Amino acid sequence: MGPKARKGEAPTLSLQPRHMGRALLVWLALVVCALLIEPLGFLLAGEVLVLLVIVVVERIRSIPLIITLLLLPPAMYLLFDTLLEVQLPGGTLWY
Amino acid sequence: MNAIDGLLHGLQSAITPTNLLWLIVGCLLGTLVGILPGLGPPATISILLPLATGFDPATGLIMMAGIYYGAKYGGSTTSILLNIPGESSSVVTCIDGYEMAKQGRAGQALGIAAIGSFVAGTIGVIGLTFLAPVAADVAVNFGPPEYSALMVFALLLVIMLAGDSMLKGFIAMFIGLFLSTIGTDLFSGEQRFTGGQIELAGGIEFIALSVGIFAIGEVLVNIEDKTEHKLFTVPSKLRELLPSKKDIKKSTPAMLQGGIVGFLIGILPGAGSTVASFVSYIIAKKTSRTPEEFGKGSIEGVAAPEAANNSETGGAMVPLLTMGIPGSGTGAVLLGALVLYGLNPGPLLFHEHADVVWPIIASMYLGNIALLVMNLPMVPFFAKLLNTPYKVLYPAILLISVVGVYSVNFSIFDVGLLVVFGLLGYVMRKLDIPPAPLVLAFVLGPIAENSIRQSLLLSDNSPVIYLQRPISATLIGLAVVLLLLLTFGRRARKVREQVIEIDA
Repeated sequence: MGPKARKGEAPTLSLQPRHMGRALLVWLALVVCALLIEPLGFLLAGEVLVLLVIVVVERIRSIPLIITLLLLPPAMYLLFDTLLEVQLPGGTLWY
Repeated sequence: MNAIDGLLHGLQSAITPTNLLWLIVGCLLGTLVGILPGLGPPATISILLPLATGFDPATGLIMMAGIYYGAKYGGSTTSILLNIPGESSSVVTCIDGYEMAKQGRAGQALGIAAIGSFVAGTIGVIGLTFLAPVAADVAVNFGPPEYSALMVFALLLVIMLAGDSMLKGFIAMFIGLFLSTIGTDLFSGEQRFTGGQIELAGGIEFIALSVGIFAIGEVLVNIEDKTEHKLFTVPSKLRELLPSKKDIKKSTPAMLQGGIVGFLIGILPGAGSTVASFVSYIIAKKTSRTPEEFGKGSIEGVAAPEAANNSETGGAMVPLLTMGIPGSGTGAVLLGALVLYGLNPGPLLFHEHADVVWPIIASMYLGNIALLVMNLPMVPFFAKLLNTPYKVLYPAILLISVVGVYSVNFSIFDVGLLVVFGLLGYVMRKLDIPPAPLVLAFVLGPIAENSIRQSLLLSDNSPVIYLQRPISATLIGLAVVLLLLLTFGRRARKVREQVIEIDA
């Protein structure tokens, strides 16, 4: 991938601020989510991450997409916490 | 226990309904996650690893084998359909595979990849069955000095073969080595680089590191571009799934060649599947009757690297199981898994844990078969999955990563580490620094440190001990020769140029 990147064909070396801004924005959303997991629990922190992606990063308008995205954290909670019995953080604020 | 007895015994204990079920579940999950764009085999395995740790070692490791094969196949699928190599070893597959997909022959490419993987995987596993016990017997004679030399040798190989810049390889390696020193010093009990954080006393959690660097880093790079162009348009003719008899006949030499080359290269500690796939692609091109087709959608050009890529697994398991040296990013994750189960890969593993090792090897045979049976009919479904917009996929990948890392130690601190390493992985990709040496060095670091310090204790701090013992002296000599050869050698440079030529 090296030579490709140097010629600017591969995505790795595109150092455009707009592109990097998007990546950093998503990273910051992840930071916020990670900070909120302890107090709010996985479910709400996950929703915050998803909402940030919907509202701030992607500005999604399509209703079906928004609904799918909002359903992701509960779906994962169901899969891991309920079905696979991996205890996810419930949030110290409520317990 | 000789190899055949061991294997039969292994098969016997591997073939229980429970194990088979989890093997298939692993295979399916591995393919499903591995097929997500931007999640290569190491990331897939790191994410799914926590699921497999809940079982007893034999079942868990069998599930891991399924995940491993599934993830590898998933990686090949994205290479062929999307031109996204999940791991550096799939880069070669992209060349002809994507070309074939663009010509509407995606089904044949995917089919031959599965068949080639099966054929070569079988070659690799047979090789492993007979060679691993021999290698283990040799490795029993290894003391700390030999291990130190071997680690130096392996780290050098990893760097040289990881990318086209040795300097960047070294940078990645040193970051990895540094990260591996964080935690408690095993000899003096002192805290190193922990900044007083009690959570860091046990060292950095491996899963947080690998998921952060591989998965989060890849996601961050992938989302940079907001353009709505779909990553992938589903080829309409996926029903023409199986390659024709002519295709198979044409690729048979390539598959066999790839299988053997892949295994032999896989045995070298640190060499890994990337080199295996490159070399077998070059050989296939040189020996093909129609070399002009290569690069324009040659089916042999898919069969050879895919075969090499898979039989390398068998080869790579030789140093992994007998000496604890992983050959690739994926191997490093597997090693991490073995350690999680309390198994210390090394020469004694075959003697102390024969009850676990042989089922692992047996389950590799089974994983191979499960892959072929399951994935060939599933290809159209996978293609549908790829139609999901990336906007929906990447938040899902982020959330899965968070859950996966959290579930290892139930530690929110690890989630924090994940976030930090995600940024590191992103920055490394932006600077074109290969992430694999970092992860490998992180895994090898503690082994190297222990063996170096033990040998220095043995020799009363005299480094001459490395040159007094024949095996370690030979290994160090080899490492030096290799370093010189790859830096200055004409032939070696030629090979590198050839590799770069394909790459470009």
